[in-house]
Amino acid sequence: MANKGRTSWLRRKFGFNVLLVMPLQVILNFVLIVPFALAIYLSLTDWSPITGPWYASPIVGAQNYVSILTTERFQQAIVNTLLIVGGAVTLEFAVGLVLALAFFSWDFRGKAVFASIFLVPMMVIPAISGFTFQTIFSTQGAINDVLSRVSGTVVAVDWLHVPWSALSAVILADAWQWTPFMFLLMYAGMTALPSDPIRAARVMGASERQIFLRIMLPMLRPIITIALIIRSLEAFKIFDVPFIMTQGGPGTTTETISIFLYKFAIQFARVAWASAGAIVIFIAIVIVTLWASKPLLPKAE
Amino acid sequence: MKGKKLIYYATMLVAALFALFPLFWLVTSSLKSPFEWFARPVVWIPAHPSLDSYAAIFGLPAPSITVVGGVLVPSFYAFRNSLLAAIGTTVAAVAIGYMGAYSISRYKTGGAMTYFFVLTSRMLPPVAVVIPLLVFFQTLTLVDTVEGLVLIYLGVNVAFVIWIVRGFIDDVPKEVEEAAALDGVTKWSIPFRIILPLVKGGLAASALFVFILSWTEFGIALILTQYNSTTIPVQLFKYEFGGGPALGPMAALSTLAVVPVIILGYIIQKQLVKGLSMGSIRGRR
Repeated sequence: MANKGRTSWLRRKFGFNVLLVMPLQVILNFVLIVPFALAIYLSLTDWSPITGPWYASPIVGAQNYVSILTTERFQQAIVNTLLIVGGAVTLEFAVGLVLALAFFSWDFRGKAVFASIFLVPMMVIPAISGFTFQTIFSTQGAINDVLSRVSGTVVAVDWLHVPWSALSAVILADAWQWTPFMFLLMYAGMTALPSDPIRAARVMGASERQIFLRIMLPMLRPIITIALIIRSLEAFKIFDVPFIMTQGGPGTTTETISIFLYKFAIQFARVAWASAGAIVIFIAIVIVTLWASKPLLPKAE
Repeated sequence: MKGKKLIYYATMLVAALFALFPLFWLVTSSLKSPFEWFARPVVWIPAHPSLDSYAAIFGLPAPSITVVGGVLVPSFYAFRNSLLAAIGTTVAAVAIGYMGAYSISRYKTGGAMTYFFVLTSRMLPPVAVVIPLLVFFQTLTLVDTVEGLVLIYLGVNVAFVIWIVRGFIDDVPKEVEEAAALDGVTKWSIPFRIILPLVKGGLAASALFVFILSWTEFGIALILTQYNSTTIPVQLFKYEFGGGPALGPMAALSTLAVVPVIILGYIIQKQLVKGLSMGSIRGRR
């Protein structure tokens, strides 16, 4: 109160709450908004690092957008990404949910130890899990060795150079890493459920299966939605694991959107063209998320 | 009853085996000698575990690997860079994120859209932001510096802090602040002196999360760090030079990068579990 007369311009101009948010706003502007605006500008030019300074590049209009949307390889990258997201998130969700249910309803010792073990994959660096799975699936890797020992013949399949198995391997690597996340959220969701409805149903003679399907699952719906959205959003950006395991190959069968953008923007220096692709993808993600994520948005008060 | 228990434990053991197998593979690979790297049948547990791979990545004498002619860049700098990038990002993200989360939780600053705006920062494929950032960083001479990395990681990961910590702050009853205000604590020091200690768990969880994400980031670092600020994941693939992949040293570097994070994760597991589930159970309010 005493120093009210000397209140700084900043404090008078903005409220306390705005000042608190300001650093956040500044950093997001610097790292996201400004580059995003620049990306929009670049996508309208035909700039490439080889052609000179970006601001000297003439504006060519929407032709990059037309061009990238009709490029088959870009469409292929979108399909690949959707396959990986669909496969990995489904697998993570199914296994995570079953494991959480087992944890929740079974009575056994050592839950804490098992939980610690189950969380380990989440701590492993994606680049390193990509590398590890690459060596596991390689010709001299663990998969072939186990198959050889079981079948008694020499199995030497180059899993990462066969389209369907390369895609499956990428999905498996992502699922290995992120199933713990699903498990954790599902288990937390189950333990947070009110126990009365479940106990009441049991007293009235409902089977375990009915309890799960009719009571627990509907009550878990909000957290399931959130978990699925978060995992899908993150998986949609997948880069490290497929890039390290297959570089997008064989051919372009595991080339995700991020790998596609990386290759064209950085390796082939088609920055303007790739920027158009990045913006298309971003807009698509925001629209899909806005539509799917009503539960993520805090309710207006 | 006994049969049932058996099924329980069997299921859990199988799941645990799946969770741990890749790590087992990684660690044993790091202890193999060069002739065991690609041996068929696979050497599951090296007969004579060798620490040469570890020595090699730090430029120490590693007889068995020098023989193969491995060309290795000492990796001390990669550790330093990753550590600096991760610590820098974590400290800044937690500080900035906490203030933001407090303001969003208590004052509803900017309404519902602020929160969504923050979350959009996780929707952009990082590679997409990096292209224009590269242009922008060249002007600011931030390319290939740890500072540049920290700035980007901060922007890309701060949303996690908001997401996790906001739930914790929402959970602190309003009365705590009212009581503090009656005691004469100013609104400036309430978030720092009163609320901060109450949400320590959330801060720890979000700190660990941001630490892991920036300690291990690959795509952005691959583009922005050529030489001076190479981080561990980028360094890893430099070992591919010198005639084929150097499996042992790659596994050794990976092990060294992963083990501290696993230990750290184990130590604050409780907060991590609570933090993540809070984010999603409370986050929707």
